[in-house]
Amino acid sequence: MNILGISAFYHDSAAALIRNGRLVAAVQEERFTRRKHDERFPERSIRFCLQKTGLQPGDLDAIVFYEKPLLKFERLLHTYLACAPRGFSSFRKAMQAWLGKKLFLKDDITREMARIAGMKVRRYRKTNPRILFTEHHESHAASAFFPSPFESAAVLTMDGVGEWATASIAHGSGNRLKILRELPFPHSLGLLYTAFTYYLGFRVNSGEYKVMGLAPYGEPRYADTILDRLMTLHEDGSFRLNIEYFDYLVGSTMTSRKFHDLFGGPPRMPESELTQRHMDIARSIQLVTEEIMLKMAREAHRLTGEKSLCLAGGVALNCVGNGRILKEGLFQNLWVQPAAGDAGGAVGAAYAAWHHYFDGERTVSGDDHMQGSLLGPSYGDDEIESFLKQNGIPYQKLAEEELLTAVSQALFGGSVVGWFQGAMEFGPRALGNRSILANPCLAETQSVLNLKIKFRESFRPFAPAVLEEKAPEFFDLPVASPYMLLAAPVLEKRRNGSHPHGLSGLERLHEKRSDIPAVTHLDYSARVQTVNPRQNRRFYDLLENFRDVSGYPVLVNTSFNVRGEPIVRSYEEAYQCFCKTEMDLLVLGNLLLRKERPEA
Amino acid sequence: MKRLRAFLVLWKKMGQKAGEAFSAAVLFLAYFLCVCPWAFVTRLAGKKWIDFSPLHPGSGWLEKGDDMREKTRYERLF
Repeated sequence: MNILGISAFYHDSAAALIRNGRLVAAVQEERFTRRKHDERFPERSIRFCLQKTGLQPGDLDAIVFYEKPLLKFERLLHTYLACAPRGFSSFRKAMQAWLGKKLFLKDDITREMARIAGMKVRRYRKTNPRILFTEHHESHAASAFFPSPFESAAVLTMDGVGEWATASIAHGSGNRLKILRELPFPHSLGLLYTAFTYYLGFRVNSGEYKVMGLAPYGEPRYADTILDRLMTLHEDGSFRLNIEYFDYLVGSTMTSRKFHDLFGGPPRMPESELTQRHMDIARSIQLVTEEIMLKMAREAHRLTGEKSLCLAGGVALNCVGNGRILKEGLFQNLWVQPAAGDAGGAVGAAYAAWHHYFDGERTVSGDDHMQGSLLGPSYGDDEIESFLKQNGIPYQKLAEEELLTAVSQALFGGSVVGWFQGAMEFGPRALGNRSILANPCLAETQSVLNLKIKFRESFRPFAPAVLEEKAPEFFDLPVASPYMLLAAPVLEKRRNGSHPHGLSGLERLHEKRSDIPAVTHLDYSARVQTVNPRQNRRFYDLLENFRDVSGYPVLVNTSFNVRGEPIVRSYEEAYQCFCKTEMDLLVLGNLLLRKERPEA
Repeated sequence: MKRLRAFLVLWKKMGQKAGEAFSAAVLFLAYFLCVCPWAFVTRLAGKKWIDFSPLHPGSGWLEKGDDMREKTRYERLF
């Protein structure tokens, strides 16, 4: 039984393939098209999924789209009817998209699949392709629960908006999932956070993690204002937004003039200076978001009585909020779908069809079913070597042990290393196969990486990858965090207590806050990735080797890309990125490339 | 030949522009002659297309409990 899941036409389109209940391939379209958050039909992702498994489009038992287009269209019409006569501009844009394409999604999918199959549409239709549709939050819930390592669990999904729902609480047990509660549009935690992302001058549906990174530099001075004026928050985690402060229903912006008056000025222009007020606003919305996430998690616990919680939806990428839920102690176990955003909807849609439509069995073992999220394209050493030879690029081919030692020593000496191995990660995080690595013990690593390698804002923090069994020696983290989706405090004993007084905001950027300063954020938190040998053997071995060299089983792990570009997929892209930046070493499989620098 | 090609490109562009203008005009009429009056009348009659009221008493959660094993729900677009 082969089931293809698709998410597309909003942002982060992706495809995922399940064979007899096992997830065998998943990839985001942006990695092929090099257009960040690409929303177009994931043709190349589908081709990859089929190619990886040796299947033809005709071999698919079902193609599952991750949301219900007519329900979404209904919500749009209701919105215009509620807001008219305002909203013509938005109506015109939306109707052109919907009447031209989105309303005829089944035909569109058929046409695209026929193209992939190399058939005429009429001939492809005769193969009776089964095209199914799940609801948006059902896809998220399925992506959170079915691949999780739990027999039963509470499931909480939170994002901008799907059809009507903006958040849901579900109960998963065996191969069944039941949605218990939904929060209806326009009251949305995702849209609330995105409104502040817009107000702070970052890109909507993209810059939310920058707000999270900026938050520790501020004070929560506006938290009460948000809670008192922008919303009514109930004890059960549900809330209602005061829509007068927002403009996302039919307007061209996220926030209204009333919102700007409340927070003391117009939205920050992108790339302009970040002031203390911006940092305070970021901290305030982060705090409010965490409070809402906590209340929702409590309600999920009350409704299900489960010990384990699964999370998905874009808001579940808020690792600080996830860390707060874990710290609360309501749930003993927490599992977050690594592609928690809309890309993961492709995985969820396929799983929902397998378990609910086809009544497929579900097995639970110690590990989750995401296989370290290493589900994308991979390349052999021979292929890479032939590329390097053809282009006259000097390299060294090393045995594994030699390679790990050379890389560890270079990292210890302060080199920044591009690390390209095996299958590409599915989801927004690089987890040790398309990563840029550096030494976390050096104070200057953060600014070097931000300004010379990633070309991004100086305040952005970096994440540590740590040997799973050594994580308790560095972080207050009671569970494993293989997908870098939990923030945890650095242990007190590792912190550096002495700080220069009188500094505030970004002036505190260069404080040495712990013995692993490059990955210790201003509030002593870190977005931890725990690494075990079952999920990524080679990355685990590298961390062990680095520990032998430096005494620290921790590395800085950031995604292999530069600002504004998706993570690299192929060795060619990795090499181009290596050339464009000030990385010192590039490792492609077992091949080591050093950057030749002109002598001073 | 060059001139013909340039003319055809221009013709296509003009056609596209005309198409866009036509669809915008149709949507304009649809919005202001259908959506707006319908919204006005129904709202006057008390219909709440979307409940905006921020001070809603009680929980904001909607209770669900659909049978997700029902196969036809996956075959529908709604």
